[in-house]
Amino acid sequence: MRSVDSIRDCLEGGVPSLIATCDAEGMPNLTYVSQVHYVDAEHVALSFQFFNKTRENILRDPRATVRVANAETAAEYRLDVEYQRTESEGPLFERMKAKLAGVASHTGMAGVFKLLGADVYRVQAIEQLPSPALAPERLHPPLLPPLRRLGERIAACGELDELLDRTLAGLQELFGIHHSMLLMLDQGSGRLYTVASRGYGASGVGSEVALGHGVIGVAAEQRTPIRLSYASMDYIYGAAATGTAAEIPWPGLREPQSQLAVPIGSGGRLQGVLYVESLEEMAFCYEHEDALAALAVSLGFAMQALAQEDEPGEPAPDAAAPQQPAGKAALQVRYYPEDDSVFLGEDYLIKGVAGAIFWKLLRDYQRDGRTDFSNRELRLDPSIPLPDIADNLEARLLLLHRRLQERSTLLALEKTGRGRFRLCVRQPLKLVEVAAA
Amino acid sequence: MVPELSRAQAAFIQGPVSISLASRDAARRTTIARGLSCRVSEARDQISILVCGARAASLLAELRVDGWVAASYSLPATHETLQVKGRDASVEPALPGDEVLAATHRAAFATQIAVAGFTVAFTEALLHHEPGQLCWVRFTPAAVYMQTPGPRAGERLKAGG
Repeated sequence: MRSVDSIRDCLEGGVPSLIATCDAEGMPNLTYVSQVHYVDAEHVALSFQFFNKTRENILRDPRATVRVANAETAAEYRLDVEYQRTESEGPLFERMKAKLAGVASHTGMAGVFKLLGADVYRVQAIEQLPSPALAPERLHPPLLPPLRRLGERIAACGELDELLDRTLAGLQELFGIHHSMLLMLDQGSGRLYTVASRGYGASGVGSEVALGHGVIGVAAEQRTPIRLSYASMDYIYGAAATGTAAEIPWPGLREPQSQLAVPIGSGGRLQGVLYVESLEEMAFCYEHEDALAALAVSLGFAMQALAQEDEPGEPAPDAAAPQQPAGKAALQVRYYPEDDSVFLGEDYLIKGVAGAIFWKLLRDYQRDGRTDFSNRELRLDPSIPLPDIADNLEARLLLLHRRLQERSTLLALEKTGRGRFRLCVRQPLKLVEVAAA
Repeated sequence: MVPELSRAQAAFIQGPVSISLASRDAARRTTIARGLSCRVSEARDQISILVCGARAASLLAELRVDGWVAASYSLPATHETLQVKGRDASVEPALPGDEVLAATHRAAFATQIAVAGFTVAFTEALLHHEPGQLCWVRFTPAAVYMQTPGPRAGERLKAGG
């Protein structure tokens, strides 16, 4: 049998699909389907939005016929299908819900289209219907060559910051994807924080997304790629960023027309999310989803491998001697233990695990004049609330490093070797711990 | 007797809508085919849909055995959709000149979907028919159903209503 893989382009929703069923009497019934969704080589899922004759019929006799068409070539296919089950939650349901939200707002049906379930059908036969189909004009260039090149670049990276930046640079250079972000999971708070971004006015490093919120949060929570080909208010972040004191504004596009979020995992654990967006409608197709999902696998293992290699090595020979702060007025650094947030003067810097790490470094510096630290000692320090496994310490240090780079000329972190770094302080500090009210 | 089809419905299904038909075989497996134009009789008691005999071969074969048919009409711009069912479908040959009807409908439909970015070439391919292959599927409308997406979708409409 022809695989569903071969007709995925027909499942992007350009041309409305129809399903035909038969009732108990033998009367055929025709219904438009908002979405025929690709599940795997042998299954599709149809959006179940209304209790109608189709539903009544397939619950009685599961056999149905679906007609789909390619929106570019006008080629039509008949799918002989058999209803298997309805899913009303989980990864498939969320993928379809997001896609439907985009289609609904695109077609002026927001508020009318609501997904009640994902009806999964086994595809028994696919037949191309006789028609003078047009010659296909590929909308997207092939994605395997750029994927291969980016994979090679990833494999050559020896540091996390290099890995993240090269990945996003590669997406731009090799895939033509201009707006991208990498977010890491903070298991403790159930939130994802941005560690790298590309294509925005402000980096937004440190900005957060809650699990389950928007395209990224749902992709992380369900561990499945979420893709929208049209703008939907339900999945946009822009308006939500309020810029409260301890919140870093979301850097993303105000009105993305296409969005794709792919979870990054390794060893069975979620590490983070790779997110891309575009001002163009239908910017990302099934193949982009494939390519980025494959990329996310490489990324996940590369991150894991780099995290395991942080045994302290010798300090780099050219490491400069710590700079002594000049005798100026002290910079007040405030720390709020309730959420581990840190403020430099009046300016919010960071919170969470990265905030707790920073506070430990500053206290050690203030008490003992220490400036050199290793990743390993941070891992073992009881004052830092790292989860036992998948601590993502490197990502948190990178986040801290980048926030300091963006927000302060007086404080910095400098790498001095594998698994080692130095705190640079260029002004006397006054540390103030503010107890919860 | 009030015809099943109201005047407004008759006008709608003869407009620049997407037309599809369904039949079923003896084992009750369904078949879908495209309609290329639709006409309603003066008394609104007969619907005739033009199809391409080559492209709709299975549908026509099934209708010749058993005339139970469902026809769906949808206006892309508004999603307004009606389904009409009949139990007495027959297949009739097309007459010279019926190709003009197919061409007229094709052009009207092409204008409809051009706003969504579909080219004339696309519509030509979608509603193509082989030369000399046109024929009519004619039936008496037995029931009309509302299928516009929304809470009333699937509702059977009153005769003439």
